Amino acid sequence: MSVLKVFICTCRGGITLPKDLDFGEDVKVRVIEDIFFDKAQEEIESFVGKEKIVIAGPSPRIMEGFFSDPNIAFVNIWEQASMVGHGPEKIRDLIHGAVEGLRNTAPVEKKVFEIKNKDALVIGGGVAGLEAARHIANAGFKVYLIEKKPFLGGVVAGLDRLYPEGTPNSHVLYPLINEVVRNKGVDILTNTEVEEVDGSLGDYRVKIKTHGRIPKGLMLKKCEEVCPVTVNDHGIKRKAIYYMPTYPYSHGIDFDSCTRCGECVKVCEDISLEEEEKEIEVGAIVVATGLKEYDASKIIEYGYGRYPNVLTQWEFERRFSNGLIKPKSVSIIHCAGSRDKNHLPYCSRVCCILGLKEAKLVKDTSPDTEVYINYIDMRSYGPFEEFYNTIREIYGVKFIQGRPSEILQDGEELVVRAEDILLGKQMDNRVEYVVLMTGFVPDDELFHKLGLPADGCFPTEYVNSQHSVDANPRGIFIAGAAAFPKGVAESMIDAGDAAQGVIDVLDRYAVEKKTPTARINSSICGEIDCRICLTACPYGAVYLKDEEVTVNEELCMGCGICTATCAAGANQLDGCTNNGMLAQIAATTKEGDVVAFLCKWSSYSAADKAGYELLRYPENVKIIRIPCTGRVDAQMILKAFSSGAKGVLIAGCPPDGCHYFTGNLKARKRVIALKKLIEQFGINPEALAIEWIGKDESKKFVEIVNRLNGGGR
Amino acid sequence: MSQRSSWKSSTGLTEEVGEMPEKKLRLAICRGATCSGCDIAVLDIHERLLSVLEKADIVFAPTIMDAKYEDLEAMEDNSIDVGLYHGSVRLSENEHMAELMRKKCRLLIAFGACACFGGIFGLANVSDREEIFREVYKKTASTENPDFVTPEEVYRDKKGHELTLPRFYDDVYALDDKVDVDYYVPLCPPVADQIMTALNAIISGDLPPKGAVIALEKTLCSECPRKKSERRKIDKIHRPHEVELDPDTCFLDQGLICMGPATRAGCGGICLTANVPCRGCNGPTKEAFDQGGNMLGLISTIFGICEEDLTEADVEKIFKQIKDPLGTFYRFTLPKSMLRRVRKGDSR
Repeated sequence: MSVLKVFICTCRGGITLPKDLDFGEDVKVRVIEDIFFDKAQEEIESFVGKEKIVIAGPSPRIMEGFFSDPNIAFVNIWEQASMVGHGPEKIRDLIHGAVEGLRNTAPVEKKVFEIKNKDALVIGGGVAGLEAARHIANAGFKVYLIEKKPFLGGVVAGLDRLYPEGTPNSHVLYPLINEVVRNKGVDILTNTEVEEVDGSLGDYRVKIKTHGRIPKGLMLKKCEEVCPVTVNDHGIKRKAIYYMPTYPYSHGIDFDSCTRCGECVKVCEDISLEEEEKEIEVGAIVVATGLKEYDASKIIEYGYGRYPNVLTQWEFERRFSNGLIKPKSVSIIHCAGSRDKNHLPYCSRVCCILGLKEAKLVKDTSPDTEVYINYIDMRSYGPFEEFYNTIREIYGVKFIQGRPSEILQDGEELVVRAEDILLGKQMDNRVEYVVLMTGFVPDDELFHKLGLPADGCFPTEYVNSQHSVDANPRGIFIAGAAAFPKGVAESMIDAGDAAQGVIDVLDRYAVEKKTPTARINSSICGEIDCRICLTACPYGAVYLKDEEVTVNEELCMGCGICTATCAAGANQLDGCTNNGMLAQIAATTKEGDVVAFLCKWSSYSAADKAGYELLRYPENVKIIRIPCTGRVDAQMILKAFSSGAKGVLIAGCPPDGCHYFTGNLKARKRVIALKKLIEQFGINPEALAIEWIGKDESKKFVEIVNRLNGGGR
Repeated sequence: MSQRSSWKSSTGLTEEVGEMPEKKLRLAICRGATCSGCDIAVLDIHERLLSVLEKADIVFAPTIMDAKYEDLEAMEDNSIDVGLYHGSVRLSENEHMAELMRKKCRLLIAFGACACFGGIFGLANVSDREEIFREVYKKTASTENPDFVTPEEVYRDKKGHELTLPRFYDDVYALDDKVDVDYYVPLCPPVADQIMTALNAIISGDLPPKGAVIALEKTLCSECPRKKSERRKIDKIHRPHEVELDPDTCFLDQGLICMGPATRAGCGGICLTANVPCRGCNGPTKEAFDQGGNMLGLISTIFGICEEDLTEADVEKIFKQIKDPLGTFYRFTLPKSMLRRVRKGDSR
């Protein structure tokens, strides 16, 4: 790719081109009248992938709809030059900048992920996992469905009812399990865990370990009787070998508590306690590992673990439904540890409705039981408001608005101490049982093995970027409550969505990388290095692989925040490298210019809009398009000044609206630090500005560049 | 630097290579604006100097042996195999010597941080000739100079005698701002092992491509045994005297500015082992073009990383903790930075 091709569209004579279109011997310039003509596009297309191409014409917002190749540089000479009344000299500078930028940028290879394995792995046998497996298998792909517990069904299997109506869980679970079991394309492995995951999209090698085996269809009540291990399973006592009416249709062994004493094997020789390891090869993975309750004993003031009648929601539901307790009065504490800086800062979304469900369950079964609900505020979105009203008005549940400050034991009774903020008075509510509606945390043991970013939190950012159209194709999909607390219906919808993603990948021979990614130059960044870029990446895409800083190409969104952070130039964003950007800046900038680095998601569009509105701003404003303000590093800003710029603008999305979460805020920190530095260099700090310019704020853009043009050093 | 070229093609020495060992190398050491630490650094190779002297003759080295500039001028062009130039270019005299060395030496090495990047002397680019003269010849407390007599380039007395002094430039330059340089040996001053690596390469003829820096490609962090935290962040910047330093933990994690991530490896991390953060004298890596700006950018990324929602005023307050960013981040590389020097007569 040594030859550079420049195509310049005159937009049917609407753009006056400079007379001098010589950009060097190796640059071939072709002027075309209208780039929207099929013929013109076909001509350009014939060079795509073979040569480096500069296309000067309308905004890249439009051009990217026709051409998508990382080796094409777009120059906006329509909206950002001709339409705002800027002349041929500026057009030449802009094209020259793009040419020099591209000349100094290593060609980006189009990366293709070959889909070698057509099988899928679904991790987690709860409703989300089952639903995902069902969809994928129905589409004709083989699915390994693995579950670390002895039985399928996940959280739902252990509970009694579904909200809001209180439908028994069996309505959803049993037909779902049966459909999955019936599908010969699904290989169900219970008591099985993922040991190690290697490879990438289309070609994963997964080591799985199965703990022991019981032949299908064996009811082993005798084994259960001889088992010496008794376990408290969320409020219900059972043996380490037990039966659950889901799948498999036999007894199962809970290997978390099994001591491998062998008593059950003495009764039934067909039981195996041996661990079995095997490697499977799959093309895509669904992570449906669900959630777990926040550890209630951490909320010391509520006495969980000290007072026997303070129970978690699951313990209470299981014990109540199984008739183990018959409470005279119950207090249900919402937001136990949730929305609390000391515990879970977030709202787990579903627990308000779960609390109402528990209240209804109690009242349905035992109408005389007094039920109180302590809540901060009721988050009963959508149809659940009606449910809330029903519980309050018809069921006679008493609602106390106020988070309890403590729970005390007084003789047989529990005292729930809280201020009812509606009545404005302190209340000591005496009840027999307290149910703590704790929030949820992810069951995230696996996330690390899979390279999923999560710091003990739900992988929200991964999930968000998973739904982003510009994300690179990936082979790992999160489904259901593993992504964030969800109800059963939502989990199943989400699972269908993840399954669709898997099918979309497996259905193809290969998938192309969409967005250029960051790359680590291992000759500069060694095994032990500063690792700052790991912290900078908003996606956890930069990670340590065998102690070496590596970029996960499936996770990388191409924002360049890590590239701008690297002080050694070891981290380079493909197609937007230091060398390329610096060359472009130097070639574009003339003495006295204002250089505007505009984020392609918002500010660049605002500048385009200024063109559509025929606004006017000074001709010396030169715009350089960047993926995110977070990509702009100190070198680029200093280069603009050293090339003669009298003002430099970095503009991006509004503070919380960055496409890459925090790129703009990191850029702001950098710019504020740099202002102090350039002041020492004798440059007026006001000549450097960082601004948030949303896509509609064309007038703000014009105002700001006018200010920078007038002020300056 | 981009293409690997052999000793032969890079120096123009062709057939002689094989005969090198028999013919003793001719070596010159020349000083620019320097503290002479680099001269001492050469002597710091201790007894290894003897083995060097077996292979090479030092033909010109004003600091360690008697020599006049005329001696160098009298030598034939390209008659010296290797010239080490240390110090930056501050005076016309330095430039003259740099040009002379270039002419007389087949290989010219920028020796030490000053020759490579301008070095500590380069910090004088925050000022200019006029300001420096006013400070030194007038404003300092111990100076009595009512007529503000300053060094002049040419002085003629009444009898017509002429005395000249070198011109004091406004700027401090690195060696390659003035003449073509073959290799770079940075550090302040170069360490013995690095000097031996350079000398051995020259003696053996196994030379890296022109423009190479005789150091490692990686960053200093790769040589640093200190423990780094998984998620990097800095809440407060400390200066070394303010805190008791843990010798096993990364300086950045302790809130100290350590230039390691922005600096080449190759010095052996001697400061780090002495519990002193890196100050960056080995210069930037080959893909980084502004050591100071880059380091500032890096620090600002991890500064208060968990609190992205800080207000602008908060962030400004945080950065006030870095005293003198220019002096801290460009301690050795100001003349080689993007902006090169502080602009005078501007808005301030």
